[in-house]
Amino acid sequence: MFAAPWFLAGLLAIGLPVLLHRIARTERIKLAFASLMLLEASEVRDTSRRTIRYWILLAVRILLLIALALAFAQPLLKNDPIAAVGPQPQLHAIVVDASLSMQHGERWTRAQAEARKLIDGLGRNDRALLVAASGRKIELLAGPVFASDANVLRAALTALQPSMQRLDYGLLMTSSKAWIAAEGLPSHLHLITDLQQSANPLRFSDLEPPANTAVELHDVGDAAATNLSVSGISIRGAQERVLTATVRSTGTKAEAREVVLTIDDREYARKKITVEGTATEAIFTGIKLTAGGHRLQVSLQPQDALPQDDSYFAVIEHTEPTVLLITENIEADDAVYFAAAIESQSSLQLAVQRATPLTLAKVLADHPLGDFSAVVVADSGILSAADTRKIQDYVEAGGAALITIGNKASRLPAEPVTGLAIRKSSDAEQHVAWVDDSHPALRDASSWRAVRFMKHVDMRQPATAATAPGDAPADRTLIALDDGSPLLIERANLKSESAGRLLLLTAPLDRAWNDLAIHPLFVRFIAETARYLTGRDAAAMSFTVGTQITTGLLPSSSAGGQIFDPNGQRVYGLSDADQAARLAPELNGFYEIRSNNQKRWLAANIDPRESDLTPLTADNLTRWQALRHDAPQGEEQAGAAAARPATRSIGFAILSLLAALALVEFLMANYRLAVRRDGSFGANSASTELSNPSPTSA
Amino acid sequence: MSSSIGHLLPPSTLASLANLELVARVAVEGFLIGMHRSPRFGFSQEFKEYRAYVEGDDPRFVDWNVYARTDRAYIRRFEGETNTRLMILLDASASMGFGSHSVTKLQYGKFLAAALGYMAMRQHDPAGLIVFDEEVRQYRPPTTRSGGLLGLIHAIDAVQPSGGTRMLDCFQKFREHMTRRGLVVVISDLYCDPAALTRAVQPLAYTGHDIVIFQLLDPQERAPAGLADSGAAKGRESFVVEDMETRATMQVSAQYLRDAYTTRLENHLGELRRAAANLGAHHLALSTDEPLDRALRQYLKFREGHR
Repeated sequence: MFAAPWFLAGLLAIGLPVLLHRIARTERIKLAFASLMLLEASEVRDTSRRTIRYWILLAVRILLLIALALAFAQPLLKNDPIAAVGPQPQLHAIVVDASLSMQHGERWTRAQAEARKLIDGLGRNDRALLVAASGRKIELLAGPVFASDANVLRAALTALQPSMQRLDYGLLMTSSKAWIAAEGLPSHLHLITDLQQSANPLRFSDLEPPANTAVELHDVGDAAATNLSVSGISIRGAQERVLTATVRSTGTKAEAREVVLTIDDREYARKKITVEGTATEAIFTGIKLTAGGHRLQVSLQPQDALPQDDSYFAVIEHTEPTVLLITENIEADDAVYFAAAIESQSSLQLAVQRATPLTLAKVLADHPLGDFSAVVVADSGILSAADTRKIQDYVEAGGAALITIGNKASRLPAEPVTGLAIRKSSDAEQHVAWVDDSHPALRDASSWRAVRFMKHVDMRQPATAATAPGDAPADRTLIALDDGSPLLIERANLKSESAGRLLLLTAPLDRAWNDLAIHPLFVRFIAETARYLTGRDAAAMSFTVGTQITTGLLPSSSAGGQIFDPNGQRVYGLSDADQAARLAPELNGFYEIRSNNQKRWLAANIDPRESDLTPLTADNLTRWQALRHDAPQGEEQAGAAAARPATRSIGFAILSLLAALALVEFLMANYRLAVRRDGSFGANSASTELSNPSPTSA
Repeated sequence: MSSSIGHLLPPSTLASLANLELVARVAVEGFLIGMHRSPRFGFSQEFKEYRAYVEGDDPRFVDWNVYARTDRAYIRRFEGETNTRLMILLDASASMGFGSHSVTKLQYGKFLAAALGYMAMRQHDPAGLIVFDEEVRQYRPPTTRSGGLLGLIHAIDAVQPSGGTRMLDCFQKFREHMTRRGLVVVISDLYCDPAALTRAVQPLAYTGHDIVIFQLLDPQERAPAGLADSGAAKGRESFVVEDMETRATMQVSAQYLRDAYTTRLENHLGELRRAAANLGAHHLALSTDEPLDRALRQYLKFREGHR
């Protein structure tokens, strides 16, 4: 490892002394002689003694050049990353995988032992930090501290417990830049994990470690581990439900289990299955539910080494599949159109109970309004004040209603149920200008433009979104006409958070008003609206542990909403009530949401990927560890500066060697040159005397 | 005596040479009667031989007593004593400038040439000088005139080493200057082919010259291993040797100089010696570290022993 490796090209200069020595060796002494007549050309190789003397000088010169090149190249000795004592401080980030899979068998025990071993092996000058990694929460538990304060790390490690969430290695490596780069030290990221293959990120490049960081993987998993889990349930049917639970296995051996279905904390059914292959289904039929919300739990018995994923939780809202249709005349066109459109959807299995203002009291005497899945009012102007109040209460209590404005309502100053002001009736022909196709009731909004509106009611334009944080949600325009007047409004500013759904259609199904009823999209529109109002698109609801979900509570402490986790503990204290609008479940099970004498349930399940214990392949590991941070220039320079302390320069030793070699070379070369000068002088003087004989020398 | 003479001929050398005589082994033709035997018969008192009379012979030399007893005419022949010419041929090529100690070969040759000239002048023998390298650089005819010795010494002193050696061409030109027989002393390092030496000297020998060849060698030329063990070459296994005449270079190992060179030099000297013997010349290899007087004395003794 060299700080300036390109200076190693100077080693090519070694050829220079070799060449010079060869030239010197071929140099010949020229001696004058009387005549060449008696001489013969002849040449003999150098003797070994003389060769050795030359080679020593040559070797010294070559060593001198090597030392010179090394001095410029600045060789660096790389310290052992986990060496007990090193002169250069290093940062050791000890990351413990605290995901659900670490609760399998003895994995967590091994992980803690490995972490303690790393803490005990810290160098005197090293710094270390402890990180717990699970789900979206990469939590810095302790540190960075010096090795002398390692007890802080040990205490944090002892208190650390595995979570129910899934770890994503990509998220871990991305967030690691925050706590590693801040220290500016050469770092080692020790990841103590079971190396689950399912923890791999979607993009392999997300595994790239931070600059100047070496990733060291400590595998505490066991490749032969198997696991059974309930990965999900599905519910079909309306009156008698059919529940299918899917049981997955990561092993190859067949295992017998009992699948227990629990509804509202009471065991409902039990089924024996033999789990073979990757997925086995357990089907429960004939499930009859009363109206209202129900908690379903499917569990495996007996449990395996990872019992947390042996249960699956779901919440289902069961309502009577009947829609109350209130029209002025049950034989009128709009009544026929509505009833036909709703009942034509066999998948919804909805029945339509027709009523008029005159018969409404009798109908409600047999069936309370709350037993109906939804209420459709063909013209709200026909309702009496009492009926209007009933419908408002029904919606406030969680019911669903579709209100249309007909001839009678259009003449009122305000729509009775919603209270929205009516400006005027317009006879100008209009077309649909804009449709909010993100709304569930308007999934297919392609042909709305073809519907002609010969007459419509111009109402106050509601805001499309809340004006400021903390305000109640505003009414929402779902369909608007060319002149900007709303055609379909979703009423949002209801009084309580437990209120249901209310849609307001500002045009009746009257041919004098529009041709919507005869347009092909009408049936689909009514069906999707009914599906939306009756909530039949969310038969069984559950969320994944760790994901952010909306609780329906207002972010205001005055609302008095509370959330309880599966253990019955409050999730948020009084001071955290403003955070209750959102929840990130940390446990699997049922979360209870209480507000204004009502309570709802949210089901949270573990991420099914966490149940897959298949370890990473060797190829994956190799590619990961070969992955290096390709930093931009500025970051690279910063990284290089930070990396400097990780290596030890031997420049001083090289310079000392260089000086010693230079001295030896000087002495040896001086000796050699002195000899040659003497020889040259003698030869020259002899030649001078020979060519210019002096008489006095005789 | 001038300073240059004193420099070239130290008193110790001159004192040692005073007891020696430069004696020619064979009689040479000369104008003056002296201690040297003349190659021409007739004027000496020493009888040499009888020869049958042929027409044209001087009748004064007919031995009439022999004719009375044998009725045949014979000519009496005597050895005549006369002055002899000394011609010193000094090689001044660049290779003569080589020297591994204080005296180069050329310096040593100058000492030798001056000593021989001095000895000849004392015997009233005319002494001349030819300096050569690739060509005849200087010619000084033999003379006995007063001041001749001084001029000879000055001429020797002025010689500097340069150029190569073309002995054959130079000796052909010597014959133009040496029409009369005499003593020819060649002072050279003889870096030449023995056959070329033979071809060069042969004409002089055939014309009756008495030829003495002094071959000068530096001690390192005799034992060049010392060259590899001294100075800059010390400890080296091989080095480049440059020819002082041609400036050509050659890679030579010390091992060769220690082993093969000596053998090759001895062979070369042997061939030169044989070539000289075939020509009737005397060849003597002198090392420049030998004392000069001792070398001359040994040579002159050698000449006396062969009179």
